[in-house]
Amino acid sequence: MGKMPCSRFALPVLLFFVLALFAAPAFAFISEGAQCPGLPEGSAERTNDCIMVGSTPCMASLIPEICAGTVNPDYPEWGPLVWISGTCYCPYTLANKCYGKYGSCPNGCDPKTGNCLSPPEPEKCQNGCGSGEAQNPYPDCACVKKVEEEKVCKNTCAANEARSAYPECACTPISKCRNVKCDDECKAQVRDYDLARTDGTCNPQTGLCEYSETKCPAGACFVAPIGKAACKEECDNGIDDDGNGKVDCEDPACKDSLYCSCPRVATNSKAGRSLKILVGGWDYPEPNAYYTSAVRDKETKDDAVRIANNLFATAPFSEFPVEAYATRLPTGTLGPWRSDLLAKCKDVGGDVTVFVRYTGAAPGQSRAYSMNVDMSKNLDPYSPNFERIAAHELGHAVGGLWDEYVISESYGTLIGTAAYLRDYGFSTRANCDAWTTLGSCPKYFGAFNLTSYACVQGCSAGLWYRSSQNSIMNDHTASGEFNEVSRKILRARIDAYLNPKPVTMEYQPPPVSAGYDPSNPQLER
Amino acid sequence: MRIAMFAFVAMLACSAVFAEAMMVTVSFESGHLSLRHAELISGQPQGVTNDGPFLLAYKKGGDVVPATRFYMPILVLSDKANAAPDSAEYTLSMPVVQGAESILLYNANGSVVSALGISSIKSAGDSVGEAPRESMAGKLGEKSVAAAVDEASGIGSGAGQASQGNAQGKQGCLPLLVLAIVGMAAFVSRR
Repeated sequence: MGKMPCSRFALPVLLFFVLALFAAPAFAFISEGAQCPGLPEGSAERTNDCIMVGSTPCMASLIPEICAGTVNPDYPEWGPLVWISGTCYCPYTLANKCYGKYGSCPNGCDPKTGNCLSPPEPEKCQNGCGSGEAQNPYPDCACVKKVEEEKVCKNTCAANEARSAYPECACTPISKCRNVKCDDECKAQVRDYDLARTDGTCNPQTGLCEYSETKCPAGACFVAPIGKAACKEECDNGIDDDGNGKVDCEDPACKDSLYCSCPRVATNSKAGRSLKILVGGWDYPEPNAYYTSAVRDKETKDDAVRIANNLFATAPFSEFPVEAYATRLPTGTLGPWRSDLLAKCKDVGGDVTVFVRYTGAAPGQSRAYSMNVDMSKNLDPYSPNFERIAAHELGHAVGGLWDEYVISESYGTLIGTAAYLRDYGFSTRANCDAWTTLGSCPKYFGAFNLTSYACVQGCSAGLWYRSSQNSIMNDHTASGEFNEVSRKILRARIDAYLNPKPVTMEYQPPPVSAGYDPSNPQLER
Repeated sequence: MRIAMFAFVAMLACSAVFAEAMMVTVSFESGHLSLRHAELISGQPQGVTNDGPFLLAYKKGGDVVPATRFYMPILVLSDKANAAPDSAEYTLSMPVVQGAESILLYNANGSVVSALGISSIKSAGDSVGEAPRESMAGKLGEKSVAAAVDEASGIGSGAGQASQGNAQGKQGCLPLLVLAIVGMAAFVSRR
């Protein structure tokens, strides 16, 4: 009985084996519509065609139990073998687009698309953290306190780049005019004029401001509250320096300048009507950075005060109320005249005008009784001689006093003047005994009721006599005082102005003679 | 009496505040004196004096009103020589006599040697004659000394401004002057 099962299966196996031998080398397609029963029931692949890939791989699977579910180790991508109708098939589906890709997709292949499958998504933390916390990676997922990051830019920019502020921290090319402001400004120049710099623009090539520049005297540049730089008004240059549309004396800034006014600069404060001395400066040196209108003002004022202060201490001026006023006149070829000074300072009405010239060194010169002095500042500007010269000239201008020093008669200027002396009254009250002899001198000076006097030969002429050895009318360097004769003459003259008698039509007979004229014996005293 | 005093003070105040002066230039040429120029200027007149051989006076109607005496500054006194040039000019300013027709110049003998009509002078800046030779006006060929000085100083119209200011001043003073005249009249009538 034992042999029967074997013998019973022996014939079919043998037949199958034989058939397989003949069919083994060939591939055969299962007819269309055949099912691949090895695939799961209902799957799309089950309805597709199956391919018998050959007998060789299936040789070992002739036995159904061995065939089904076996995977050909050489073609694992074919999937498990299937046993169909006594044949072991290697199933292949056209829909399985993963054919040929097995092994190249580490995470498997999607048979529908043939795409490799993505790795599985990592696990995510499910807990949340606070705003000031940071979370550790999965699977720790712990919340830890954030470390405050320093708010500074950590990047570096190139030398020609600028970095924007944190957190932008961007690097951009630098403009040389960036943050450059070209405001008006004053620029002091060493030993030169100041510069008022206006209308500035930045030069993109250099990054420097370029301005329109105006020269101002040293220290005269200023920046107005509106930001405009300009020069202070120079009150005597004919230019609108500060740009307010007003030139020199029209500018309110010049109202106190001596060029535009005639202020009182000194007084001896004596009560009563004052002798008004009007000092006018003119013909100044060329202006420069430091020799400004203000400096000329100060110089003129100071000189007027010097003249006045000396008179306050010199008799007979010291005996009367005296005031000094100062002004300046235009410089140029138009030399001023007494009438110009009176017209300019009409509100003052100066009794005596004193012109001080600031260029040249001409000696003082005055006409007798002219009430006007012409003198030069530069003759002897820094010694007391300046104010003494002024007093000396005032002796001529106010009192008609002669010079008491001997001057050469070779000029001949006195020849022929006797008629003037007689007709114009110069000899009626003179500080010199003119054209006389030593014998007549006491008679002449005696008439003045003097305390004492001398008869010193040499008073404007060799034959004339003066009443003292030294006086300011003889030598202002030797004496600053008027002698007694001169004081009396000046006193009477000043008094005639300050305390005038009513002006009358009374005839005043002229003097008979000016004295003895050696060239004309008929004109004898 | 009080009214009269007030009137007198008012007149003085008006004349002081709104003073004008006649600026006169006398010329000496080769022994001859003459009146060269006269100009009305605002402001204070220079002090006048009764000292000197020559006389300036106003002629008003048939009257002669003395203004000031003066010396003619001919002699030039310097350290070189005492010279008596052939020409000289002298400028002074004296009070104004309203309504005067001319200015007269008297020499030392009491004779009129020159006269200058001033009827055309109405306000400050007006002038007659030729400006002083050495003045800015004389060198610029202008007539008004004050205008020439203002022009040289860069002042627009100084004479005009002065004149205008003076005119306004006179208007402001007019009520006081009227009051003064009425007061004086009242005082006189009482007596």
